[in-house]
Amino acid sequence: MSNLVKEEDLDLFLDDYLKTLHLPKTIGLSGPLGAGKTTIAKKVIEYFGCEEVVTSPTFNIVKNYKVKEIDIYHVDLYRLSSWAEFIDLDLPLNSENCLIIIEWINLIPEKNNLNMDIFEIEIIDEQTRKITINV
Amino acid sequence: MSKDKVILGFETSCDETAIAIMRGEELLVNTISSQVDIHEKFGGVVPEVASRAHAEMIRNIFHSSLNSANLQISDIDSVATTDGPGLVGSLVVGYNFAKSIAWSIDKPLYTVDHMVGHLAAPLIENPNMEPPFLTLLVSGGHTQIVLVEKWGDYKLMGTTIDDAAGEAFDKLSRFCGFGFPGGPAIQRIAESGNPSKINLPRPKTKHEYNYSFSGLKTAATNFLKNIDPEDKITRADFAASYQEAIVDSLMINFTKAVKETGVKNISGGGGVMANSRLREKMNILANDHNLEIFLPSPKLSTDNAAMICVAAKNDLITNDLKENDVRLSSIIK
Repeated sequence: MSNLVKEEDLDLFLDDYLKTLHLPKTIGLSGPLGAGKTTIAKKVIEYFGCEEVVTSPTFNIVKNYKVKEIDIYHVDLYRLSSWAEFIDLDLPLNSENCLIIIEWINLIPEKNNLNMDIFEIEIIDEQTRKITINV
Repeated sequence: MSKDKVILGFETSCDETAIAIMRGEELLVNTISSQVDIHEKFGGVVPEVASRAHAEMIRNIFHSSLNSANLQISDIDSVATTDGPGLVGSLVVGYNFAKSIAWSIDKPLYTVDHMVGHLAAPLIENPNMEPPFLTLLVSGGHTQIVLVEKWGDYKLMGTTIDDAAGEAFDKLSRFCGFGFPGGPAIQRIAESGNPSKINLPRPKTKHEYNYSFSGLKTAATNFLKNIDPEDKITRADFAASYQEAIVDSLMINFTKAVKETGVKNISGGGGVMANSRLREKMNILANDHNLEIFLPSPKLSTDNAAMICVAAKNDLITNDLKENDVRLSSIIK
């Protein structure tokens, strides 16, 4: 599905997607600088009840949050350059109760080897994004 | 810890392998080897997450550091290392190497939080700095205002809620092709620019001391996409305006926190604290409010192992060795 989403409608749009979501799940976020990848990741992680401040994982590459029995990995491929480095991260893909959100998934051409939902985000104007979710 | 004892420090939380040796208050060696150096010295690419390559490098740097200090391994009285936060692969190398050295010479190992290291860095050049003080820690991964009431007592007053200030520099710099790391690249280009040429936001957050740089980055990229050639905006103007927006944002909240807490001493640290415009503004703040300022020199603001040595020397240690592992988040939260 593909939608034009205004900033103020983002919560509703994500709720629609999230209420049918079952763990384990891997979500890839793809879009240019400033598209709102971290914003979406933040909202998804907070939806699962995380009370910590969710900040950009660019620098550390992987951030981990534990919310009750759910294990959340917030990942950023911005500083990686190869599939081998991605494999080295040794993420618990498809492990029980595991939610993995990966920013800049478009930097890894081999992403199609992974079983995940991919959000393609396009900037339409300052307040509007075109979001396509490929499940 | 006795004053003239020799302490060996490791800091490998990021892309750099850093080793320092101090004897008492004297900094004997302060080696920082970046990935650029590896390319030059050893030939070949070192992937950031491949800890094996870091492990090979750390041994060479360790031996050359001992040599430059003119010391034997048996002269070391204690060992200190960062135990987090940082990149797991890098952290594990320094942490385990330090542990092995300490074990092999039967000397104590002290572990230090990376952010506490930055917070303690002014002690390298000013051993007499004493709390209470307010410090602004700004790096690629963190942006924090921390009130240090006394050593070991850290109150996090503000933090970024999205991107760190260093990340804001790096990402825009990569977007514009200015170079890496972004802070020094933008500072260099900004030198001949007009910092008030472009009106960029100074983002506010709900919590008055928190920071947000994500929106600023988006505003800057949007500006570039809609740029009017008639405006004759130069690269330098753009870089200077962007740098000014980051520095201003940092200073607005920090100044508020200074007034609120009524501290008489301020300090700073982290890679972004090497930025000359930010240092200038910090000094102006100190001057305007009659504050003592303890900024580490630019080389000691960026990641280094000397800060790990001084933190350990002053007992600012984590030493939760029963966990026996590195940490992904700072003890300052």
